[in-house]
Amino acid sequence: MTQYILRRLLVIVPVLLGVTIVVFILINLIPGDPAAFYVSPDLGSNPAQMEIVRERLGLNQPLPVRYVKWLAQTLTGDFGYRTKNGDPVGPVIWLRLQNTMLLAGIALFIGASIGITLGVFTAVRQYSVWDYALTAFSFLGIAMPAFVVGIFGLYVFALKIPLFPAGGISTIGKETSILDTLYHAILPAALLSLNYLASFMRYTRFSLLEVLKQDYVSNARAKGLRENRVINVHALRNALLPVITAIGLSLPSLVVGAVFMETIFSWPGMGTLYLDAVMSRDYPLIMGMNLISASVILLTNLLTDITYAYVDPRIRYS
Amino acid sequence: MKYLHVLLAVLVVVLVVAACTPAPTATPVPPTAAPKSTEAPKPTAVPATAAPVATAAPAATKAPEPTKAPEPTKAPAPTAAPAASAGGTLIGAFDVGPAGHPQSRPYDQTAGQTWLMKIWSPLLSFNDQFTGLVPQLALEWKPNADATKWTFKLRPNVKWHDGSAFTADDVKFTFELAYNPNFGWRNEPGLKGNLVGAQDYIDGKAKEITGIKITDPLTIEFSLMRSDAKLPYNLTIAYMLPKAVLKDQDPAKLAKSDWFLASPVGTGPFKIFKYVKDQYMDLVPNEYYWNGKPKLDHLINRYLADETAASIALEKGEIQFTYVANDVAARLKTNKAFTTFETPSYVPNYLAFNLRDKRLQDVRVRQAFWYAIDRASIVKEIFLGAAYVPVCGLPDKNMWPADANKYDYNPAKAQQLLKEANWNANDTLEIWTYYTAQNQKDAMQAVQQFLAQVGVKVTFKIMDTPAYNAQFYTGEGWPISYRGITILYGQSGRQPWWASDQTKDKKAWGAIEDPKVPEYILAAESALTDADYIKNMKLLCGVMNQNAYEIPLWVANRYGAVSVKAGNFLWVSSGSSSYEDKAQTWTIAP
Amino acid sequence: MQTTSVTTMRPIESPMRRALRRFRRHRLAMFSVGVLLVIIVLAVGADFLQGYPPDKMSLGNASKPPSAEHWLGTDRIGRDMWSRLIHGGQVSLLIGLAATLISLSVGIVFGALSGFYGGWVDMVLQRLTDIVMAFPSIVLMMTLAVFTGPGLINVIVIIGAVSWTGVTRLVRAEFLAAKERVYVEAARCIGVDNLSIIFKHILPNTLAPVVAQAAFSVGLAILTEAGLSFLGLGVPLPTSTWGNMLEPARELQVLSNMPWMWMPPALLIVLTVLCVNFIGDGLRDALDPRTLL
Repeated sequence: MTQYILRRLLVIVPVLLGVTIVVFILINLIPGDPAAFYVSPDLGSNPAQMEIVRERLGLNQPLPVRYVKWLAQTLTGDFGYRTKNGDPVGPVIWLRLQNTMLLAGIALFIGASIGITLGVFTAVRQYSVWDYALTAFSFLGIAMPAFVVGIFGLYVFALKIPLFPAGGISTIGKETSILDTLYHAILPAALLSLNYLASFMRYTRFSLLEVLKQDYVSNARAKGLRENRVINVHALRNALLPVITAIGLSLPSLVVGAVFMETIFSWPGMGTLYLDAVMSRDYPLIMGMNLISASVILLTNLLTDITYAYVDPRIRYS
Repeated sequence: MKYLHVLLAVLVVVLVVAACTPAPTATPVPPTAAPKSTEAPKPTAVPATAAPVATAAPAATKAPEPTKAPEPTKAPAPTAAPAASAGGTLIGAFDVGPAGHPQSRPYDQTAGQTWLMKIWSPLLSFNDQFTGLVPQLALEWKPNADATKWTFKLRPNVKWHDGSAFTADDVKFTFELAYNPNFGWRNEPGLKGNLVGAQDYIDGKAKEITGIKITDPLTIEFSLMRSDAKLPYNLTIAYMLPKAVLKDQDPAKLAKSDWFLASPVGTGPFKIFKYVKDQYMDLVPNEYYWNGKPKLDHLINRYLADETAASIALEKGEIQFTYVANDVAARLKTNKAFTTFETPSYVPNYLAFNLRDKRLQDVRVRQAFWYAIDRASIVKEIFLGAAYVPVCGLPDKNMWPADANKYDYNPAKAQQLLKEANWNANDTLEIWTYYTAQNQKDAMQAVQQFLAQVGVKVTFKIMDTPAYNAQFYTGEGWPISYRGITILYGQSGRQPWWASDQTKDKKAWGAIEDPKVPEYILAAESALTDADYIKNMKLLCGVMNQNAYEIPLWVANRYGAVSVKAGNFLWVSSGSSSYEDKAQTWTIAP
Repeated sequence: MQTTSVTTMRPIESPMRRALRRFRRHRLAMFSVGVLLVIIVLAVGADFLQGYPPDKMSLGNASKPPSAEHWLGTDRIGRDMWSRLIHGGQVSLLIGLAATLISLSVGIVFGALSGFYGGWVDMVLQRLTDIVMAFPSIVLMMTLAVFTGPGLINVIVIIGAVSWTGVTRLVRAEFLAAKERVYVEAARCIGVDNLSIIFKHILPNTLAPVVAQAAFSVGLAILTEAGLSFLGLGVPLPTSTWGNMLEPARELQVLSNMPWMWMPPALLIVLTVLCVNFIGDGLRDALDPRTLL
């Protein structure tokens, strides 16, 4: 097992290098650079101004030199500075990361807890009206894109019935407090959770129904155990395995962010930060964000596999 | 699975009904159309310098007596100007729009003047009508006979946020820092190429700029290589920086320094109290402000991701000011809780022709395009009347000659002109643009349709600002561009028409080679009187109008809305220049 | 097992027929096929079902609510919303299908080569897949969209280029299992060349899971197009797509006071994706020999 983990970790390194090279080449092929972003055409710009900035940002050096410089700097733990406003990239990402983790974390929590509950509920009542209604709801939840859910939610719960703030992360003028932040987070998080909720519910229902067909469940029933106990103790534990995998594979969204929901609710998270970075050709920020999200994705994949192997002894990696 | 499809059908019906019930009663308000043509980052400042010498007698520690007593604002005064002057907090989404970031770096192009001028002061600024200049840190300014030397008299008893005195030393320091190649000043006011000694200083051949001379602690002279009668108009964004605080800093590091965000020392009416990234910048009064200590206890610029969020925050009372789209402004006009502002943008949107393209070299073709577009209808229906139709690329109506052709909508004439010019109906022209606002997209589609109706096929290519900037200025690849340019009084906006060092073939963007264009622009720039200036601008307008070198489409207005709780509040869409808003007199009712 | 007793009572039928029969019994999927057919007919026949051409502007009639004249009202430059909606359907469906075609082709070829040849081919292709999968797909798509600029073809290619990885892994796994089978061995023995073995012999046997996957990716592609267009990175105007039609809802005025401008495309996106997903479910169940129906 240790050997397996080591090997997987070793594979991650070249993949990460590949990711950064791909991103680096790609963003440098995009027409326009950070210098060109600064100068608004409406205000009358001229190429000489762009040249000043280009010089200052070191964009006049050849591509490989810049990549190696970036790599060397990053290896020391320094992500450099944003070209857009000179902010250090590391702290900027960390700040946005906290916001995104809060938003996506709440969403994931709501989605997993309610989703699994409803999944069990529908599975044990297969073919009931509840089952049909909730299954239909779950299909809807999966088919509804975040921007549709977000727009509808904003429209209904912030504009027509103003229960929640329509955007932002805190009330201005008040001291930042956890309660206030939570109050701002609850509507976007709830809307964001719909998708998780729907898919976890389907996973749970499907997987539990499969397990309930297994012989050992029939055995448990035959032993005369009460249905509650059969499901909670015997079936559910095994049924949750694929659900846990699904949750594990959703974890990277804690880092990547939810660009649509963040856009609609003005939530300063990773999604909007990335959109901003791409639109302003903020090279160091784009590189930093891609590196971080790629690392997290690769590590969660590995972690999911390992957990799976631990929980399910039938699986052997070699 | 028996009932599932029935359920689905029911669900769809429910959804449709649910979707249609909200807001059926809502009055169909006219379509949105935000008149914000500049979404791209606005340029900032031109730090100017001056070397402080021993200061005029240290004034009383209290706020120095204002030269002019703060008079009540002329501008649309809020209906209920509260008399109470006792502090309070005013929160707004200022300039750069809600889409921007509150910032305080006066040398960058990432912040809007509306906010920068709260913290920093230039030597002079526009008045709130943008028709002339008013003194700020300079009291008066005079050219010599041929406008090759300008003398600025500085205001006495001005203090920095830290209580030290502002002098001519600071002015000189600011300009020298600004022109330091390591510092990287993004927003050059056209002075560098004309200032005596600037190039030597930039090239490292001189330790100082010889063309900037301090004659006494409150007097400074700028020597120019050629005459520029409109120099002061270009200095409205030259915010002064403190020599005493910054002189030992490495200019290269200073540009990225957090000092500007955390605890900058300026001469503006407010100073930074707290800046929370992505959220807000909180200002408190500068007790030393030369025009009286501001009445507000706090002035906060809140960062909101977009206009929609800002409008919602405004209506919910979370903020008291934001700039708004024209339809929102129209709605708020009838709302007694808000006062709305309407100001011209000074940004004409126009179709720039690239005369390198042979198809566009025939004047009849260009005129035909002009006749084909029903600009008045677009202004009425898409901009909801919140714009006007100019006769040339100059937004100021005073600069339009009386006999200019108005090119009123006339598709028949357009078709006839195209026929005479043998226009090939199979040609497709690409129009490049960087505008992404919804109403601009609507307007572009309308232009496309109008041209299609006379048999001209065009397609729009919407690019983001970096991509546009990287390709447009080469003068290659684009036959037409839909764009805008700020042209303020005194700033003749010479770049679009005659600046010749920007494109690969050393011609102007659109390759206009009419000798009259630079002739009139130069004459306007060296005009010593307003009358002479306007006369030459009219001539320029006439040439552009007659030859249809570009099609000026419209000049949109911009809107702001403020809670009536705010007193003496004044906002003008500033774009690229500072203006006098007397923020020290602003108040807020509880 | 129950299955055996059921199937033995039936005459032998081809796998295709059996799948079809099983699919037909999936009532939700059949219902979805019906709804989707209606949408497709509307989209394909848009030119005959419109009262006005989709680009016909009438500035005097801008932003009118639904009426007998304009069933779904007009947009902000006075174009007929109904006409734009059904023409938008053409583009959205086209993107869904074309992008899926691309991702399937790339995915199948890569997966087949990787699974069949193994060794360094597998190594290279799988690391490539790893790299693409290491990007969050929305991040990669935003980057690519800015890179290529807006455009119909660009959007199709971007979506296709980002979403082939799942198919690759699926096909590779199938190939790994299949190449040890007897029929492959047999084909080899009689001297059939590798390409024929891959595409004529193994591929048809591995398509069942891919078909279901394809249905889901059509839905995903439609959503992705709408998402990119919503962010202003998608198909350029004046072409109408459901995503483009949704974009104005980012403005408060449209969002709260002109629901006819954004609700119909929003509902159609959801309805179409819902149908496609149900069909995908139906196909998966029908093609999977292990499920009971």
